[in-house]
Amino acid sequence: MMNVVERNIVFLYPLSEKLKELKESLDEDESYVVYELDAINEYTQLVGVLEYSITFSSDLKKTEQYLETSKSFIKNKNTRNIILQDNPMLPHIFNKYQKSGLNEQIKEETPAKNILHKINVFFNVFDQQLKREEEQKNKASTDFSHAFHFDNQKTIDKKKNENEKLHVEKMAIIDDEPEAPKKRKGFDTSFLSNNLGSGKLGSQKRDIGFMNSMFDQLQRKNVMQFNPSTDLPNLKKVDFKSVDQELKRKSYNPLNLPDTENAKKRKKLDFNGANHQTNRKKFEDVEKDLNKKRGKFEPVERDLDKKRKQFEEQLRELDQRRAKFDQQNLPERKKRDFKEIDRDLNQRKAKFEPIQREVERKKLNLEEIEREIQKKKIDLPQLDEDDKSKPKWDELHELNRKKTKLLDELEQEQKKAATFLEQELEGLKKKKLELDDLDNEKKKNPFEEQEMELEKKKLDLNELNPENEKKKLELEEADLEKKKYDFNEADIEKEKKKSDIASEIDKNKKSTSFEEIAKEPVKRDQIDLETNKDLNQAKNNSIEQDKQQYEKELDYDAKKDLGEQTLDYSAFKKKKDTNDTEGLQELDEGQRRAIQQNLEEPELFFYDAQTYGLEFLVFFNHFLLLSDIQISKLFKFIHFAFIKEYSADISVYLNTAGVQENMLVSSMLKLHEGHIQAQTVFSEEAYIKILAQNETIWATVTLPTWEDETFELEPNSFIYPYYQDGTHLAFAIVHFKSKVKGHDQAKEVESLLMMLKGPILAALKERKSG
Amino acid sequence: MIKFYQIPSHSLKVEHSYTFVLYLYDLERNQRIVALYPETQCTAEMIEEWQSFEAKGAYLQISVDDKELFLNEAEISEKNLLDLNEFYFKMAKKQEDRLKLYKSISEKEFHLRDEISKLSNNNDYKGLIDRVKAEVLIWPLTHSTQLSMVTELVDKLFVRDIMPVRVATMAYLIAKLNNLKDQEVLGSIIVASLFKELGLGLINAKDLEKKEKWDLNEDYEKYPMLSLYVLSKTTFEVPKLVKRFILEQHEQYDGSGFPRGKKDDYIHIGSYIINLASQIIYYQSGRIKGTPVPLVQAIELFHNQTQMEGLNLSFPTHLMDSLSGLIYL
Repeated sequence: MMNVVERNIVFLYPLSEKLKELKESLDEDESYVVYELDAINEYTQLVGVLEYSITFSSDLKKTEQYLETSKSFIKNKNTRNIILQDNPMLPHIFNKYQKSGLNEQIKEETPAKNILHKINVFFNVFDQQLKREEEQKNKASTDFSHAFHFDNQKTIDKKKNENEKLHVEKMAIIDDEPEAPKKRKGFDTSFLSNNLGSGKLGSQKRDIGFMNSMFDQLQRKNVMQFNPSTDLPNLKKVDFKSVDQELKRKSYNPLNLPDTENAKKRKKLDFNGANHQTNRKKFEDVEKDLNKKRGKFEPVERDLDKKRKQFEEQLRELDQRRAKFDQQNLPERKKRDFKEIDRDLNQRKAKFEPIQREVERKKLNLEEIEREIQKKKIDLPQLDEDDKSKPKWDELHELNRKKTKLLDELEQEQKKAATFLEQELEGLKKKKLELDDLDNEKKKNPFEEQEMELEKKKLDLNELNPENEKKKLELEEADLEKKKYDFNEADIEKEKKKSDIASEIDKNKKSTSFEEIAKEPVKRDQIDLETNKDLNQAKNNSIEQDKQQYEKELDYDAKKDLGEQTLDYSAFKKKKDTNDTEGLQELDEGQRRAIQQNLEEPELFFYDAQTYGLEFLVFFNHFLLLSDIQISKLFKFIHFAFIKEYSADISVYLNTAGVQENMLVSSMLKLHEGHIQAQTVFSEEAYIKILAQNETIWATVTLPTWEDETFELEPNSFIYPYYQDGTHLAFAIVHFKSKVKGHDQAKEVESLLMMLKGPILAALKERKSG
Repeated sequence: MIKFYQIPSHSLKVEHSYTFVLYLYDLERNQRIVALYPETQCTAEMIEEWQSFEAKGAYLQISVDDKELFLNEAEISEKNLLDLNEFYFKMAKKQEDRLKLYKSISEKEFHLRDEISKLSNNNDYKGLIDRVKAEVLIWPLTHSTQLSMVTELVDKLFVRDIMPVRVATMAYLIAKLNNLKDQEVLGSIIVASLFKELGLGLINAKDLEKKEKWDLNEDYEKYPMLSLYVLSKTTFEVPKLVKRFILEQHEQYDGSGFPRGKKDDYIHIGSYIINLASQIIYYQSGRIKGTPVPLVQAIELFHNQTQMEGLNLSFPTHLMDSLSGLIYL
């Protein structure tokens, strides 16, 4: 008989209609082992021991969870994960899940037959593989020597050993206390609690033919000799028991049990019992654990109390508002809205109450258990653990376990309550905002508010209502009427003006203006005389407040000095654009169009067309580019430029000695005596006189120097010395008839004089060469 | 062209209504708003506010059409009004006059090849210079400082047939042949052509007479930088492109130029154009060879890339090819 692989099909709840249908059809087929699971950690355990499996799911969230939790087990060739969806998920989402191990997504409308085909294709591959292996093994056993057989066996042993190790690794990751499976058809999970399952248990159809084969013997030997790996980090050390032993110890339960019995079986699944048989904790440890949990629980409780208080406070506030609301004369629609909100609130309160009751009940339970534990502890005084009577200790442990469970449950409940309260608080906040809106709306009409307030006061007064109080009120009312009349007559114009300004300042305040109050005489007359005083007082208060406000604003307008803000052009523009439309409205269409056109007309901004005196340099440059350069022409040209531009004369003196100290102008060579030639500024005699006076100074000036740096002096002069490699070559003296217009012109002068260096160098060279 | 007059806020009377519209123009944001509508009373607060805006660079305006109304109603004489708008009027007038004078000339049909052929016979560059002048002087004065400055330089210099002007003219024409249309670039080419040799003024002038002497002068190769030095002593803020053109005026395509030995595309096309234009002009004027030659011949020589002593023919091919637009081949 040919062996086939176990066809494990896992259905992860919740299931879609198609999956349910598929599951039912697979249930009927004996060749498939069907698992139905809900808890993720349970799934992790199961898939860890299944050699080949296909997992079907339909809930995206659940799929994401199980893929994420079990990806280390399911991301291999032996496992296939399929999701059934109504609409195909987006490629990037599928890619994301694919990375976690999802293999395929199938449309919900795909016929069950097609899915079944996919399942068979998947398992057939392994069947074929197994078949090939068996054939090879049989061939090897007949064809080769015993020695080789032994070697081969060792290889198989090694391989199997690795497989076992892998199983142990997988199991080590499994939680200590898994949840009971929701429904597990034909699957006994008791072996899981021992952490020793070979993964070959619990099949509907179980072929044990291999038990007698050679392969089985090898495998059995391998399993018997197996030592759990202890050197791996974080690996839980367990007592490994062979499949065989396990089978002997605990016989396999038939799988064709009815559903009702399955449920009973689930109840029998006691992982904790198994745990503390093998790994019993000391009482102190349990106690510590409990205290730890208690510690964790306390802040939750505190938080819960805080939230509860907040909730109650909100409720109180809402009640107060409701009470207030009942007294108010709000429009029917608003009332309806409020009632709806209130009804909703009551419903939510009703929902919260059972949660609260449950919490209270569990708290009581906890207290009871704690009391019992204390009692038992007293019954078991100062005994060593070994000496303790086992049944009592077990009882105590049982109690502790219950307490832990209860604490967990309580914590869950508290969290639930907290979440509920949080949601409610959020809802309450919204309601509060809604109520605030109602309040605001109500405040928009102060008259109504005042009316209501007066109604209330009226009630109060009626309650007290002594005769003398009434008389007093009547007198005051008469007085008030008089004052009111005076006020209305005298201030009506002033108020009108102010209200106009006020309406400009804040249009939204129109409804609060005292004018509106005055404009409603009918309403006012309807109010009882007894309450007129309060009404008028309220009105007058309001008027006074408004008056003060407007006066304040008027004062502000008159006195405001906002410094830099005053210059806020955009604000001005805005103001003009928005408010100053009266002028525009008074214009005819043609004028308006002309204005609009002018506003859109681009402003012509001209850039000054200056040459900075550079044109003279260009002309001068021209002379330098001629094939026959006449040095005297160059000096003359610069002189011409000075006369033309600045009404100035220039003279240039060449220092042939090369020494500047104690140099006299008279001892220098006259390169260009423009002062005498042009006499623009001085006459010849005058210049000679000036030259004589400044002879010692001009020749020894080492830097370009203005006689008057402020350019106020008239005539001003400028001395420009020329150097070459630190040697004084010459100097130019310029006298300006008119004022030099600032530093810009001074720069132009300097650049013009600078251009004479080349001619000076040429003249010097000429002079030196004879 | 002139649409508005700038007016001072103090010329307006308090508690007075005017028949014209008063605008407020903000220079910073380039926005104009209505400050006062006709028949609206002008208050002291308004005037105070306008003055504060004026202090920040904004100014009040009236439409040119409302000039007479304004002079009648406001406390200001026509002279004062014109004085206040002096620069505005001066520039607007300048622009208007230039447009009037040169727009038609610049739009006139111009046969460059014919003009150059004519020039070759009489060595008179006036036709070319005038054409370039006409084209440049219609450039707007509202674009940038540099553009305004170029027009002014052209206005002052292109009245004389001098060497830098010839070079600038030729450079401008070659640039246009090479599809350089941006006025800023064309302006930079003109400015650089005019100023590129200012540095020669700081070199022994006698060494500049003959080509052979140039190479003997140790400062000669520094002159592009000396030109920039001279410009730096003026108040003219030299634009970057102009600086580049001046510095690269002797760089060659093969990297054998000076002062930096730049080559290929590292040299701006404008620099190549200026270099080529100067060589054509200097060769034609005899500055290189010693004897002048007709312009057509000089251009042909460069176009054919005929090797001659003292000439640099290392230019991008397309630039040399473009010279065919100047002469009949």
